[in-house]
Parts: sequence; structure tokens; C-alpha cells
Amino acid sequence: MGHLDAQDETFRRLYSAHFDAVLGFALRRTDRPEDAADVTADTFLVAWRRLSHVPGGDAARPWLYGVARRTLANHRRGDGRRAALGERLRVQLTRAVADLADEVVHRADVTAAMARLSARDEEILQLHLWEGLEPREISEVLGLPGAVVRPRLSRAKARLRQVLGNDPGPAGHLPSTPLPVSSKEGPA
Amino acid sequence: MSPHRKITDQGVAGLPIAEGRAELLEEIMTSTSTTQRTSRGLLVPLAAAAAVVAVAGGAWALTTGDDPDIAPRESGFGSDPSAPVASTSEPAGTPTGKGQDTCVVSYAEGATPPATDGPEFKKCETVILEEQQPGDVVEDERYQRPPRPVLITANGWEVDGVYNMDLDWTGPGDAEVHLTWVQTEAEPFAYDRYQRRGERIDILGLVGRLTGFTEQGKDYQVLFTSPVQNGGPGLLLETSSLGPAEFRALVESLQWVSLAEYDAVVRPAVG
Repeated sequence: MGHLDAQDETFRRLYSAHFDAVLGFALRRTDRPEDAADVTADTFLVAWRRLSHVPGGDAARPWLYGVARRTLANHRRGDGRRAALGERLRVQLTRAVADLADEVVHRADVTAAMARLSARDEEILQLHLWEGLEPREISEVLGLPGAVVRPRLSRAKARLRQVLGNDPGPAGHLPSTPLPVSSKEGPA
Repeated sequence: MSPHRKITDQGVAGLPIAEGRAELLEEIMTSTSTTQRTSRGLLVPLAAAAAVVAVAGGAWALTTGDDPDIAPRESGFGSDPSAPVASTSEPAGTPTGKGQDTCVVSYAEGATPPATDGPEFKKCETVILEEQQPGDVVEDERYQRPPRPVLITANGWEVDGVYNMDLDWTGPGDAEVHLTWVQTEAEPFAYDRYQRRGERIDILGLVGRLTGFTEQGKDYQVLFTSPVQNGGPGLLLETSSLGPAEFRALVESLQWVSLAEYDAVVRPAVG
């Protein structure tokens, strides 16, 4: 297998392994599915162009989240679509998410409470609770030392508990892996 | 879907988007790689280059760590913040690399790659064209000198996080402000998003706009200034934890400082 073939294969594996995670990351942070499609396209375009910089193994996902996070920031600042790729994904995703009813993260009340916190607290909690990242991985996404992330996460959790009225749920925290719930489990 | 009902990764895996997913993969892999090798030598990682030629909007200048050429404070976009900035930057210097044989030319995302056949490239055994990407980190170190050192001087505010030249600040009541730099010329969105509306404020000898937006139910306050260098980056402050009056007071506490003063405040927060 030639060098380019090996690169292609590496990227295909990366895309296959992390597409759902990156798209999920984007969908959970955007109001419009087509924006999530754009962020996903831009993120993987960066990964493709910077393939030699993508760490292997478990470190790949936080790296991709880090790129997606900065891409999202660009979108929020009005930078619009970058890649102009993935038109079919935009269309399909818009339809698919409109039909979505059940596969939502655990406890909409916690998500709502997180939205009442500062943007920084919300972001670190989202990375921990939605993406299931530990402080070491969060530090990779945010580009901050673990020594900064750990106390910041701790403070954010404390403030979330305050907002929730000291009722953060069973065992005092949410599962690190977002769980699908049925539509009967609570109001949106 | 309600904004508080967030899809899981398992839910994403079940979405009927297989065609779009596959098509995107092929589109990406058939797109032109932006890390292009010229006919001479081998590709080397960007991080190996000691100096990078930054190209923005057709004008380029060396970024070598020397003191930036700060334009007079009253310069910038002048009386019409919405007008495009006319760069006065001249092509500067000869690209250099870690060795004399490798030159890295970084240019703004979406811009036309610059020509690399000029005399300044003669000594370059290898020339690498590198389109800037959202994921780029030019320096391994967390700390990077800003275009011009600036600090928040209001009481109770301290740097809580450093990401290159971007700073997270924390203040009274756990308020938070993010300070970053936005390349004005290469990022025309800056004018569309911030500069065409909002209240004008003269700050730091620059022209700024106080404005804001709402994103996913959060109200953001924003300051965006004219560039500190002609065609260069402008200062952007953003917060979701202060009201307009509080944010304005904070903005008015911004001060240019010496690099030593900046380092004294920022370096300890690098971690």
C-alpha cells in the first residue's frame, strides 16, 4: 500500500470512528441541523488537511472536538459556511432531525439548568456530561492545562447543583455517557 | 426539537443520513489538500518552522516574534467602521525557516495562495504553503505574545486561562470575559457581525463597537475594535455573564501595557 493509500485509509477510519461523535457534538450545540452539518464538514476537512496532526487512539476524539469547538465559534461569530461541502448531509440531516423524537440526552431539566450558567461553565459541563469527557480530555479540547480544567469543572458542577436546587439527580451526577431516553421520560 | 432535548451519539448513529455521510467523506477526500508541496524538497510540519510568513488578503508580512509594527492609534478603519480596511502593509522581508532550506508560507483560509517564485524564496530549498485552519496552533507553548499587550484593569479581574494570545478572565461574582484577537482584513464577517451595528466607543485609541447577540438563549455582550495594525487584528471581548452597563465599564478599564506588565499578569495563568 502506497503512502497516499495509507493516508486515505487512515482518514476513512477516523471518519468512520468519529463521525457520529462530531456530528452529535455539533448538533447539541447548534440550533439548526444544517449548521451542525457545516460544522461537521469543516471539522473533518481540517482533519483531512491536517491528518498528520491528528493524534491516534483515544486522543483523536478530543482533538476533533477541539477543532469543532473553534469551528463553532467561527459560525457563531457569523463566519458562515466554510467548507461548502456536504450539501446532501445538510438536506438529509434537516429532515432527519425534524422527525427526531426519542434519542435525546438524559434529563432535559439539567440541560436547561446548564443553559442558565455562564457560557464557560456551560461549555465545560457539556463536555463532561454530554460528551463524557474526563478533565484530561477536556483540557485537550479547550487547550487548557488540566490544572485549570479540574477546579473549573468542580466549580461549574457546584453552580449547576445550586441552579438545580441541590437536586442534580441520582448519585449526584449525570452518567458520563449520554443515555437515550424515551419521550415519556419528561417534558422537553 | 426543543433546545433542551439534545440528541445522543447513539441517536446520531440511527439517523437516516447514510448517503449524505458517505458523500461528504468523498467530497472531503477529493478536495484539494491545502498543505501543498512545491517542486523542491520535502514537506515538513509547520511547527518545525521558526518563522512563518503570514499572508492575509494578498498582503503578507513576516511573523518572527519581533515587535509588531504598531500603527498609530488613530489609524484603522477611521470614520466608517463598515468600510473595508485598506491594507498599507508592504511585502516584508524574506521568508526564513528553521534552516535556510525550509520556508513556510501561511495564508488566510480561503485566500488565494501566494506566489512563491519571487527572489525572496530563492534560498528556500522547500516551500510549504499552509492555509490557516480553525484547528491550527502555531506554537506549542500555551502562551503567545499578542499583537499588542492589553489588560483589563478593573478591580477583581484576573486571568483564568491562556490559549496562545486568547485570555479567559474571571471577575467579581464569577463573571467571565473572553479576550481574543480577530484578523479584521481576512475576516470580513467581523464587519458584518459587529461593526455595522452597535454603539461606537473610542477605546484604547481605537474605534470600537459595543454590540451583542443572542445565541441559544444566552445574551452575549461584545466589544470589537478597529485593528491595532493596519489590516491586522482587532481586539474582541465577549461575555455572556455581564449586562451592557457592566460590560461597558469593564471595557473602559482596558489599558495598553508593556510586555513585561502583560507577562506578569498572564504568565502565571499559563499553568
